[in-house]
Amino acid sequence: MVLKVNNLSKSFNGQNVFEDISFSAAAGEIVCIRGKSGEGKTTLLRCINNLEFPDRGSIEINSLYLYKEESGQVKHASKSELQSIHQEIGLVFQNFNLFPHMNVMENLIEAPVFLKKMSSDKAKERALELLEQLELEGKEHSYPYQLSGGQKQRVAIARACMLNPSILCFDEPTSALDESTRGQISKIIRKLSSQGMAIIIVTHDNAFVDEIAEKIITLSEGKVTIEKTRRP
Amino acid sequence: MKKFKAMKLLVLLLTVLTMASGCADSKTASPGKESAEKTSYTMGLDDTFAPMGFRDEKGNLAGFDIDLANEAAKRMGVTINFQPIDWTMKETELNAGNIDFIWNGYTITDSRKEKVNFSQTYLENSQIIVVLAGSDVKTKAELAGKSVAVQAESSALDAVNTDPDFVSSLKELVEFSTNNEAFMDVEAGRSEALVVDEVLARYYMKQKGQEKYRVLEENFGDEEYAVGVRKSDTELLKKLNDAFDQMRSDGTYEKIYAKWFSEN
Amino acid sequence: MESKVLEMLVPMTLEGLKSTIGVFAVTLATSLPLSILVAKMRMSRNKIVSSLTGIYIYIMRGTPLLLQLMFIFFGFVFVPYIGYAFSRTQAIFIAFILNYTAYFAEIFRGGINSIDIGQYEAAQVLGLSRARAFMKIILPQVIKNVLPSIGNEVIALVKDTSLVYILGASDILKAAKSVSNRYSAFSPYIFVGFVYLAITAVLTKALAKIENKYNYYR
Repeated sequence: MVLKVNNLSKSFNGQNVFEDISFSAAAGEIVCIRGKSGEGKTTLLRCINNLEFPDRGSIEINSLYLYKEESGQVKHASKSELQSIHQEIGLVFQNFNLFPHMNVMENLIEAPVFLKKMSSDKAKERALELLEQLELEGKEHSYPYQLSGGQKQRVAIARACMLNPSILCFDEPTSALDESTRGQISKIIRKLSSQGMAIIIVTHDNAFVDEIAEKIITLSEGKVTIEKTRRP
Repeated sequence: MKKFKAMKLLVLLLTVLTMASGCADSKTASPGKESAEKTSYTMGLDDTFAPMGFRDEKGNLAGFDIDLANEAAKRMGVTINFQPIDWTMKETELNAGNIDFIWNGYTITDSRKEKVNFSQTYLENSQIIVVLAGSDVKTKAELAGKSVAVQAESSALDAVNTDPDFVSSLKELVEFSTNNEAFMDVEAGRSEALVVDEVLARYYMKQKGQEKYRVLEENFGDEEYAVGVRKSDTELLKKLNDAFDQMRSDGTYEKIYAKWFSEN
Repeated sequence: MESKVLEMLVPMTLEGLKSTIGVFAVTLATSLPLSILVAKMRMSRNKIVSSLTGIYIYIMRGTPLLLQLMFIFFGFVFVPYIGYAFSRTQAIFIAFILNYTAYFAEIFRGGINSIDIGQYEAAQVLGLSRARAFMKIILPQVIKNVLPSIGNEVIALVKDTSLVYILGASDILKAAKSVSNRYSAFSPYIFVGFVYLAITAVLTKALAKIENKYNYYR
């Protein structure tokens, strides 16, 4: 299990968002989290990605504790632990959040080079490799504003995959796309999962869920139901 | 990381300030301390005030007051520095200890006597009224309902204010930071007349052509120029007055006077 | 303009230009980086830091620079415990830097606030440190946004340099006054007016160039 979520609870201003959630994801597994708007699925995804602090529970990523419950309090991972954790999990935002003032190549290599995980040359190599896999050859010098929505999404995916994380998260990946590009995204996700990456997708697109999910987590009224699909 | 940046900026700021303070001016006296024991004094002046203290063609300080001051300093056995100041801040500068003398066509008035001590008179002056040659105005009374220009913070202004009936009879009494501007206002036709030191007026009118102006017969009184020092500097004042006495008795004063006011 | 007036005016203006440009350059070089720091302090979650910074900005923007010059040179001496007699040059730099830092800080604060939070979050999930994210991701975008406003203040600064007269310092406006009084002429003021225009023209061009450079993306 590369991701283990145990008894996670989160509330905002006294309002319960979700309570006592537990689930896990294995390497290569495609997990979809669905539920009506405002049911807390995005919050859940943000907790896993260190963008929100849960009230109770624990989150374990590749045997490293992002959050651990100790004597009634949730303890955050240390700075050095966080550094390792960030490499293990990536997030593709709903609106991509590419850095507009940097071209595609710069967007991709910024973090790996800064974190000293790669030399500049290695990073560029890896970037070109990813861009080719994602059918973005020749786009490395383009700026985000010059790209289409689908292309931007793929750049966002490439950026998140630079350090080969064990888990890749998507927040509403099909909301901005049309039918044909949705097919593209399915293909990409399946390819990544076959390479051993666990995929966590938050979506309200039921057709997409039916198409791709191996495990479906449904959030309803703050509680969770888990079902495995027939897909292996 | 952020603290690092803050420190770097602080260091940059301090360096700039230290460098900046290294150059240029320093204080020569502190208020309240008797400064007669010093060997160098600072004279504060508005270095745009011709002919008393101003810049010549080469940008060097020149003027009647400059020459007098240099002479006096020689007699007193001290060196003198010249510090340009803004004229409206002169008493503040003196009392802050930034300067030791106010010496720039500084007229003795009662209100100023409350703030500073004056040396003996070194030049006589009067506050005259100047109009353009083509003006109909011949008396103070005829200025009623018109604008009159004057330099701010000047003894001309004080002199005018001793006649409140006159002031209230005017359309307005406009104050300018220099006499030059007051003259310009009259030339522009916005003001009918200006009240100004005779000494300065003669200088200005000579430059521009005497025939353009006319001086009214009535004026706002005679005045005297003297040097202003801090009330606490009694010893310094005595030394200065002694220097003046010397300069009068041995003819130096006459020479300097002739140099600047020969056409009087 | 008569030649004798010009003969005195040109060297005096060049001399005064040292002050005008000196004050301008030092103020700009110091207050721009300082103001980013102050902007962050103003946005700090620490209530004390944020309030104190707010008060400083309020005072600097709420009183005339002329008054600040006078206070720092003449008035600060009397402040209990920390009172100090600055030299004229120190007072000029301190007043200008404090004043312009406040104005720039508010501009930067607005610029920083206008950056989409998604940028911060993307940087965070990628593992970038807060400092790195600020310097490489946020700040460049802020600069592009605030350039026009900053440019305005920069041009205002050129004119504000003439305020140094209150401490007896000689800039180009005072040069005009000197020559004007010496020859009882008005033309020196016109000459110096053109000098200001020339400086502003150069600055405007430079600012436009910089804005263009930042226009490489939308």
